[in-house]
Amino acid sequence: MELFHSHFHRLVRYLDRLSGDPELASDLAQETFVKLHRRGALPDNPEAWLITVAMNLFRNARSTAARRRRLLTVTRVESSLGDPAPGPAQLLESVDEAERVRAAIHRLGERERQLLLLRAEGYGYRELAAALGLNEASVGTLLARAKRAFRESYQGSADAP
Amino acid sequence: MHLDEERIQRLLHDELGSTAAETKLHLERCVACRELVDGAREEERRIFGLLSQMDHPIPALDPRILLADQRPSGGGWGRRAAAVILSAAIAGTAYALPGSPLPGALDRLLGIGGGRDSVPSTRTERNSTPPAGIAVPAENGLVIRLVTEGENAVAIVELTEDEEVVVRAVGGNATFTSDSGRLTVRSSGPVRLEIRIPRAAPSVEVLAGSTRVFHKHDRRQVSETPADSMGRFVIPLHSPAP
Repeated sequence: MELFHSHFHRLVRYLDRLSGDPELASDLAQETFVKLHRRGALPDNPEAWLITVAMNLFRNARSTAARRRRLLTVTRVESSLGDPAPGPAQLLESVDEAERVRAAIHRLGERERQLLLLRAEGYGYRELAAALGLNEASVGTLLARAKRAFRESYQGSADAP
Repeated sequence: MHLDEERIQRLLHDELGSTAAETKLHLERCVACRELVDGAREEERRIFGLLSQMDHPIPALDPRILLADQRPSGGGWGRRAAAVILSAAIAGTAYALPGSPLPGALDRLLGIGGGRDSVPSTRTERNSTPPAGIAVPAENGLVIRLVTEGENAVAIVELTEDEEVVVRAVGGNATFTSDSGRLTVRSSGPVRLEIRIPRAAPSVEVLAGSTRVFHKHDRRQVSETPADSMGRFVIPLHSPAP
């Protein structure tokens, strides 16, 4: 119960930032907790277990979505031909701050992205190391690199014409 | 020697451990490192601030989604898992939404019928602390020894599609000791020991004290207690004679 209270929102926010889809994030976080309760017993490192399961669920959901997108490609192209051209307001929206941040995050490598998003939710070095398969002694260094990479990625998108 | 990146990050995140005192002492004397730490702190604040720009409001938890997943199983485990999560959900959302009709709706959805006050057994379960339990691998065979003190203890053995043997103690007190190929569960009070054994496990033996009460060997299951209508073996446990 305590675990649910302290981790549910963190997991949702992490998955939301990762996916950009708040409903998917909420569903996956719930599914993660259902799996924990189905398991029946607490794992050795519950936080790391929750992160790992949530990450796997997200990967599965993403690959399923990618398959669906491939199947729908033809339909989407056809329908887009009939769409009106985006207006100036829509164009501005598409480059708003949130999108820039999201784009910067997604240009990072998988490990850097995960490290940054999970640390932003306050997960400790032990949990980060266990969930991401890292040496705990170098988590700080990897985090510093991830931040640097993010800053460069973000600034790069700002400087882009 | 100046602080390296690892130490600066650990300092920011309170992860220094045994080197905390030494690091802080160095910082008091070293202006250059203090500036580095301040810069790193400011950078992190800015980056995490930017990340929060992506956030959407976290939707209120809708436990019906959980229930929809849990209901088809129909078994006690699914229902109990739902009840535990739902009680968390109630606690979590009820604070934010005073007067919410959610708890009553959940009871109805759980199929426990009637008003909330008319289901004392379920309420007791919700209010109890989470059951203690352990999960152990069983690829190479496992012997589970149950040592109980007091009356009204029972073991419920069922086969699952899981990969590990899971033993939970509901009610009473229990301690779990596992070793290679062995698991000992000591319990006292009116405990219900729920033992879930993977169908794929080659050999799992359950002993009450020194008496074998259940044995699964490949596909065969042997117990003096016949399986109930749900395929579970409900085995009463007795304290060893004084």
